[in-house]
Amino acid sequence: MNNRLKVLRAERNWSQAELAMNLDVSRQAVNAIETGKHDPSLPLAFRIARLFEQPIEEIFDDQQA
Amino acid sequence: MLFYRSSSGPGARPLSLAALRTLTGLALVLYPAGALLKALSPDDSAALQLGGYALIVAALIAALPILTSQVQRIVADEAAGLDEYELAVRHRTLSAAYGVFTGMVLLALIYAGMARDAGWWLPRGFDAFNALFWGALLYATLIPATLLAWSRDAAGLQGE
Repeated sequence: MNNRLKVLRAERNWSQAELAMNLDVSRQAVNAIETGKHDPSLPLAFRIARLFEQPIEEIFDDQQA
Repeated sequence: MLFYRSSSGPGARPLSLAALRTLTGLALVLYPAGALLKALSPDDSAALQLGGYALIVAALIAALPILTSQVQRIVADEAAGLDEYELAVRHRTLSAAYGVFTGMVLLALIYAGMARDAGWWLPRGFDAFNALFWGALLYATLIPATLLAWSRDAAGLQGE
């Protein structure tokens, strides 16, 4: 699944570790989501959406590029 | 049979990927090498017996840092301490480890079934079965961490 997590994080000048702390997950989890190795669960996707104040579909795209 | 000892105290730092791969490889190769050297060498050959012991001790020394490593945390720490990505990695790794370990047990049983008729070596006596038992325990403990250390997921687990 494609996502804009890396872009959104960069816009806020957050490191992966800072984003991970805000989401209460490991830095490795953030890295895996950003690189498409891991699709987040629905609860985590909602936490990400709330953190960036955007709808889930603005962050995640289930259409394969 | 998994064990993880936390190393979250001051000064604790994760092992590099190269170190993890080297240590897991050494532990899994040196133990059976030492046990076989001890079992196959004559009882009166002190040098070979001592060499076997030395290889076993070296394997155990190599295994110790793995027990506190980031890969062992993923495969053996309490599930409550892991996030969803780490749990997904654990699930993949333990599934693969189950296949590898059961495959090894099946191969050992096939060997044991053929060895008697073919006249091949079989473990006999307390020392040989003792080494076999601790070797199986070592492999059961380290195979998941080894598979994870050599997997594509390992690169993402560095720098915790």
